[in-house]
Amino acid sequence: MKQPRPLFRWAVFSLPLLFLLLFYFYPLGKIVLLSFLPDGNWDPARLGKLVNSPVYGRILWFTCWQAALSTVITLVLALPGAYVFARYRFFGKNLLQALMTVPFVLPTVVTAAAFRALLGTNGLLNTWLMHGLRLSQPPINIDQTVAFFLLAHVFYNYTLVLRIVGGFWGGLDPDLRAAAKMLGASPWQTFRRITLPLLMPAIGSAALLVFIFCFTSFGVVLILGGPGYATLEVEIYRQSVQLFNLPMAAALSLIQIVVNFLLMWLHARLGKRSRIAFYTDSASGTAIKVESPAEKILIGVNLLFMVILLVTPLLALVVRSFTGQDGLTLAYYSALFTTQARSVFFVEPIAAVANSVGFALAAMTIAVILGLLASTFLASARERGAPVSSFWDAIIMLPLATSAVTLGFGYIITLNRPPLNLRDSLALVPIAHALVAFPFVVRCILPSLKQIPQTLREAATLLGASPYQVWRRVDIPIIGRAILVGAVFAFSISMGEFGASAFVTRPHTPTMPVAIFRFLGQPGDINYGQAMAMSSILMLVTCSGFWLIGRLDASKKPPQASL
Amino acid sequence: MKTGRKVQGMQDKSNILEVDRLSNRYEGQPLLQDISFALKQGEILCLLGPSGSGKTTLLRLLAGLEKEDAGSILFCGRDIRAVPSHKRNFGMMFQEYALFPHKSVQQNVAFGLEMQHCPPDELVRRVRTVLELVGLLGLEHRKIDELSGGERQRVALARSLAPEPQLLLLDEPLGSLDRALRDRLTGEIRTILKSLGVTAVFVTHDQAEAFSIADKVAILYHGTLQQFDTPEHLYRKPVNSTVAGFLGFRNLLKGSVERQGIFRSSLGNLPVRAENMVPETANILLIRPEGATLAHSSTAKDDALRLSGTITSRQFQGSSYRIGLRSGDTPLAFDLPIDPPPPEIGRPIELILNPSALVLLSE
Repeated sequence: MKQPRPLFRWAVFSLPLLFLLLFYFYPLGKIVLLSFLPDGNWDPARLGKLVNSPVYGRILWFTCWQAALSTVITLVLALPGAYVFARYRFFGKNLLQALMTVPFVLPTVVTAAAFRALLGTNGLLNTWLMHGLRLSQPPINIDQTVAFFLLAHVFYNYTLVLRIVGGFWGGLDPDLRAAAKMLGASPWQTFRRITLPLLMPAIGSAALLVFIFCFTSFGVVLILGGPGYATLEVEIYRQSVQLFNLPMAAALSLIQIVVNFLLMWLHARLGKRSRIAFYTDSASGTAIKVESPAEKILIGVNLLFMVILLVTPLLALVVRSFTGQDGLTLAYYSALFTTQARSVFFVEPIAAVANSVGFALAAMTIAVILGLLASTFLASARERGAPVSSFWDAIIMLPLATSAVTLGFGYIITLNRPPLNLRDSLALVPIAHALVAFPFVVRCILPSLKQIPQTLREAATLLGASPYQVWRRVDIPIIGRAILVGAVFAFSISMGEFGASAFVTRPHTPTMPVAIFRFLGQPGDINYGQAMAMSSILMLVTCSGFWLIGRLDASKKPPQASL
Repeated sequence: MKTGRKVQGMQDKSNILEVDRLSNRYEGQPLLQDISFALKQGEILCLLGPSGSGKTTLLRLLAGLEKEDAGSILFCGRDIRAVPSHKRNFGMMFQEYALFPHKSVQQNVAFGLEMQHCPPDELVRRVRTVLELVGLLGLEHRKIDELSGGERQRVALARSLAPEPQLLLLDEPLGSLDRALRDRLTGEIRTILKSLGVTAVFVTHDQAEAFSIADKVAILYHGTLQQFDTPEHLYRKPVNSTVAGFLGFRNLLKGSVERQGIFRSSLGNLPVRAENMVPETANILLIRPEGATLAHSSTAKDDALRLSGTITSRQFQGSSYRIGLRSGDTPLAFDLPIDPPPPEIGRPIELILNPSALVLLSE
């Protein structure tokens, strides 16, 4: 096979590499330096003190156990659902499948707001119960408790487990089950000896991802947990933004980085063996029709659970955004268009929508260009040079393993002085978002780029196409949809990004999640209502992007992004 | 006409498997209709048919992996319709083998024995015996993804044989292998099955494979059983044009029975032997392609059946020539020996037909 010239490949890769060096390794390196050399001197004792300090030991322990507990609960609830989706065909399956993407792309802040709207002290359920049962106190008091954000974690990750395990389960060769049966295995033996062992990589992969997401959980814990609870991520935010203890924040970030790398590395190893798809439509080719009453009950219970878990919080959010103390109202929405005297904003809140969309478009553009370049680089090295290419692949995936809060923190300690003074620049937000979205874009584009057989390009060349024409007329049309999917992913990630934004947005130009967070942090019904209204708008904007993908999915097969 | 119908209602003690008027539909579409046949202990049956003819469905019905809508399946005289697949003690070899990817060769083969709660030392011995039988000794600890296509096929065969099934079902087990390997393994499978005396049902769409492996062949077409016969009978006397077409016969002439022993067609009146005149409704004459010789090469008697025409195509096939000719307006094809070589394209040719190669059949 004719390889593109190495010089050309590196020229293509130089831009993504430069971007990573400037906006990833430089801030991160600074964090490491800051944690070891807090005042410009080498002071490992400080780090040692931190590790020995019971407070931070407790935070680390809390971060771990809440993540572990969230993972276990999510798995227990989602595995029966995965079975139902993998095994059966039923009415409304496609609709539910489309619904499954919603929590996945929903910004954490919106999720938090939605659970507040449903179960919070001022939430719909409490209001109705107090009204209906004539109670003077709200009967449900899970606001500011562990249970509240665990519930949000389940909401967030249930569909992830369902998609990964369900998709993998549905893709298992049904003849394997038939073969076990023919060899005398009962249904239970078939499950335990054949199906379960084969599912283990998918379950492991899903569990690890859930653990990673819960370990780095920020917005949900910050908003629903209240001041009493802090994960590492939340503590980094508090130490740096509220207490200005930068060395301490840096040291915590270092722990966060190390743990995340370990988890991502473990996940990559698991994923390599079993090729778990991250964004797929579950295979329905082998799904069967529902027949016995027991099956009907199993499916009914699971579907009911899904609908209650996934739909009610979102519905409550929208309902709450239109419900004031005296019934239906548009007051919260109209409040978004006015600048109030005692407001937490310097501009009318609705400007946040324009900010977010603007930032998201910029971040999407950067992420897609970088992703395309990096994918081209990685795909062209696929023969022989595999170890080198998988090294660079891992480098590109690093931002995915880094918490956004750490990244945002890194930015404010590095990009605030020459030569790179971006502190007051609007560019900082799209850059941070692009960095977070860039690995996702690569995951979308790379697999379909790799699937193009080299013979196709050779055929085009022999038909007289120049290398540029080959790229333009063969590669781009084939991966066109993957690029689009990547772009929509990047857009949604940017729209919902909160961790890094919490550090880098300027007071005059808040993004929507930041605005929602500020509203939620303020007392009073009008602030609360505006948070609900803003969350509803954010949900609408993010979902319409995925609705667009869905429309395209209907006509063509989706490319698979494997994590 | 369906030869299988004769079996219906017959309670023959020597039959191990009796299938009676079996029907099956899938989402309202009939897949199999009124399938009836019987098989004796130790016989190998081939289900032969084009794709979509229902052969795999029939096999899966026998296995209990699909549910029949009507008809019965008797095994050793017992109705097994209500017996779940894992209690039938039938072996099955799947099209893509369905080897358990998380188990080694040894563990795959041992799986069925473990399900029978076979004691450990006997299990090891029996696994060894079947692996030796299929020629895989030494590969016990290999993983499935380290095996070649041929080796996987052998593991699949060993796995289905290890629990000593009463009936072995094979679903196009050679389908994904290359031609040379297929030919070799076809012979081997027959030898192995015969040495164990296993009763087997084998699905294939390859006529050569079916003929070399089977004691009985069942031709399926659009979910109906067209003919159930020994390979030789089937080849000599296909019952209808569907079967003849599927077997690759191309010399099918329309016409009618003029009088006893004479068939009138576009080639004129042709004599047909009495035993080949069987269907009374016969309106098609089949001339099998191997039933002709060059006129000048044989010391033919004067009353021999002669056929003359012009050569239109001529393919050298190794052991024979396939020639196409036109006699009047009728295109015909024959396989001729390579010595003496037949005339070139465009030249006239005169052939002598073997009367036994002329068979009457119905539409």
